[in-house]
Amino acid sequence: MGTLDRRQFLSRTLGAGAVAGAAHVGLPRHPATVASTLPARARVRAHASSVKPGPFVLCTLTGGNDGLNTVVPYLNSDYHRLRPGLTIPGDEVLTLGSLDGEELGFHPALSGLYSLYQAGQVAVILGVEYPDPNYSHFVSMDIWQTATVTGDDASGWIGRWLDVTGTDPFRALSVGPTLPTAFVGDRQQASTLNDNTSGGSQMPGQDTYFLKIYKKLMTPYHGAVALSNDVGESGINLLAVGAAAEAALNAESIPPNPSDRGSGDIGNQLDIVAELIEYGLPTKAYGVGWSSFDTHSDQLDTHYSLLSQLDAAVENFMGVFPSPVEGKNPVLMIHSEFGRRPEVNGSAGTDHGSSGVVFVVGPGVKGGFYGAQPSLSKLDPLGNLVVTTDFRRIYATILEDVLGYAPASRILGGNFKPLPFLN
Amino acid sequence: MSKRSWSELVSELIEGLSARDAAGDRVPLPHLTTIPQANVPGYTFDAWNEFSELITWWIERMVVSDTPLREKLVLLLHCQFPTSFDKVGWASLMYAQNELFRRLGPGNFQELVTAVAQDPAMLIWLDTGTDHRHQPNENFARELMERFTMGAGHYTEEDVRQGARCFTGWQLDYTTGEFYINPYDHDNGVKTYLGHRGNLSGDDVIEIATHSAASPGWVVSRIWSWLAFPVTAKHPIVRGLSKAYARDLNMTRLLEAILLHPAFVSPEARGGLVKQPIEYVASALRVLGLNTAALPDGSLGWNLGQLGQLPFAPPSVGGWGQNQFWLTTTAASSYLQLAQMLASYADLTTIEDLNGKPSQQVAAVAELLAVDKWSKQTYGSLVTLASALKQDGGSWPAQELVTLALVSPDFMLN
Repeated sequence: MGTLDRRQFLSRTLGAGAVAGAAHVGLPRHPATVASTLPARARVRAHASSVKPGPFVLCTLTGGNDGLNTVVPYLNSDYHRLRPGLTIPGDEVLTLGSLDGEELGFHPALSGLYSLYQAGQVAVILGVEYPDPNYSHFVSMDIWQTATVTGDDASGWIGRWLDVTGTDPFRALSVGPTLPTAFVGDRQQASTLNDNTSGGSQMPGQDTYFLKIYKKLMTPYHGAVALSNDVGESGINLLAVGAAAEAALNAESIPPNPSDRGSGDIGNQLDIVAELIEYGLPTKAYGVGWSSFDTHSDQLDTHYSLLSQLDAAVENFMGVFPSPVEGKNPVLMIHSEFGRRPEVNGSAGTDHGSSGVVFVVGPGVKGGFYGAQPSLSKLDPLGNLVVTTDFRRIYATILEDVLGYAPASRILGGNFKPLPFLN
Repeated sequence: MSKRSWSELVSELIEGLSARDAAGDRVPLPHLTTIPQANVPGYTFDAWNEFSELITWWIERMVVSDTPLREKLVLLLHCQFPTSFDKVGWASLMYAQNELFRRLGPGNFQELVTAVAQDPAMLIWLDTGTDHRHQPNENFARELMERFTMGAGHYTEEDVRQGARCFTGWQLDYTTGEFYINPYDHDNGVKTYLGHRGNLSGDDVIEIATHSAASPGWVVSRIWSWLAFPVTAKHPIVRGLSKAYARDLNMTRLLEAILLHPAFVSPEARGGLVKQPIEYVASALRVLGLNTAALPDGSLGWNLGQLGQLPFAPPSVGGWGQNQFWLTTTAASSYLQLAQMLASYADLTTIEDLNGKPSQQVAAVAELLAVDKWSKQTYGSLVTLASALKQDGGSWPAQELVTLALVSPDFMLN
């Protein structure tokens, strides 16, 4: 099965890339061991409340990332019993220590995240989901993105924050041509950026005079069909955001990364965000995302490749922000719509499960474990992990301490106790 | 447009659903490697290039088709059963699925779903072909109910599990490229699915799901939402149309009922949809008198990717969204670039000839783009541009004017 990233995929459709002889694109083999040979990074730990956290960067992994093979309970006998052929051996995991008697370790592809963890900059939040898990990709992702228990017809949680904080189109920027629901409110939505690191790609090529009349054409007006004004708004916001993003990317504030680890599409997206933060855009929330985590079959190789690219992307990104600086103290949250079934299926993969792992990474993050690792000996009646930590507790922390909006209950529709994962 | 002429047009469109598409059939099919061909030792091919050429082939069909409603239906069925080359990996299988939609789309929905379930692209896409008797894979069984036939909220997790058991043994033969049922991998035990009990087969499951109480509302609301304006299964229009559809699951009769529904030509339906990027590209090419051969190689796929809708490559089995989904700032930029490219390839002599007569020029652009009447704001903007370009000289006034018109809300909306 192909799991090319979207960027490669799109560029290939130009007919430029040739994959001779095979329709199925091979994945890198799963190496027997991965040496964690990265140089130790000099880090300055933040002092509590000295530098405000932010901007927020939301990274959404679509498809259902397998939490059990991401943060691995590698000594647990039930883990080995439930997924023969699909376990990560203990001598390969990057050990994290124990939580409530369970030894946990990162998947070997997460070497960069591991060094960040050792530097105290990774919050590992375990058993995260919501009550009464839903196993549909779309419903579950909607629940996560809307922060409601049904996901029905609701606006996104960051979108609702946009609804109550004015109209500035710079407040939230998402990379890619379409917007995740999280960034769509009832009245406001995030702006988007072209998924391309070249500044010129952020604006259309027309001259100033043409764009002046374009602005007139696009200006929303009273009495127009609602959708017509929505078309207009997208054009008006483009003129502001596109020009600023172009300037930011052209400034190339960040030296090119010497790393040759492939970080793929997600790396490209995070590179763009890093440039914009470093340039000093006033944006408070960024969105990036990646798909293909739906590993129903041949999971081992696919998952290795996915995590490896994600890891390289996060490592490169965080390399730009080694210590907290005002306005450049990013808080990166990585989540998926659900975890996967503990038991292997007949296709050497896993089906939809519940209760996943969330990472929050950044120089202002207080590293360590949060939540609780679900038991593998006490699965729910459907054979899934029991949820220990409501995802909205993470949002509450983000809203109040990163986006600066309190009380978070006004956005979340209920009181959720924030998790103390920030310094 | 008078009521009479609308109903005549509808009859013509409906007849087209079962008529031969002479112009569409003349579009040359690129060479697409089949599974048996690829199995020949020493055979090599470029799957990505085949994929790119397939995109061009489909768009070209849409542009030239004599049976436009059927081509539209093929697109809607791609949205209903979103399947991606990204995982399928064979352009020949994506093509076969596309032809399946064209052939069986206008008929009975149960037969269509059965054919889709056994379609090799779908077998790969939702892993149906990879599971075993005692370890069913739930991927297809779940999406069959949630996305294809019923919608979320009308079944239990147990129905997903039991349904998955019924599809065990449905496999793809990688020597012939054909679907078959492997009796050794099929679970012949008793299953209970949506209240039905017995040694149910995959075919039984599809019959039960397509005839379930929730199915008509789901199917009708999806089709209506893509043709008129977004509605849920609970909308009164959907309830009304669902009753007739439930009698025979006939898609041709459903399409006819939708097109002739009073609400379809109501003010609410005007400007009720943002054109999907694929529709936008096809209709822009069509009105500009262009075809895909006029454009640089690969540019169609690239532009559609920039707009967020690469054909044969939906982001997931959930497919694409609607309306606001397409209206991002990035898309606004991509539309401007695409519009400029299209305008630069079109023959705009008649509009060029009207240089110096801004209002006539703007009227001619409306006629070219088949826009009934510009909104006041669009009209004003176009006239301003036409007047300025007249004074400017030296530039390509007609091109710029058509570029602006192509990104106007008037053209972007259906």
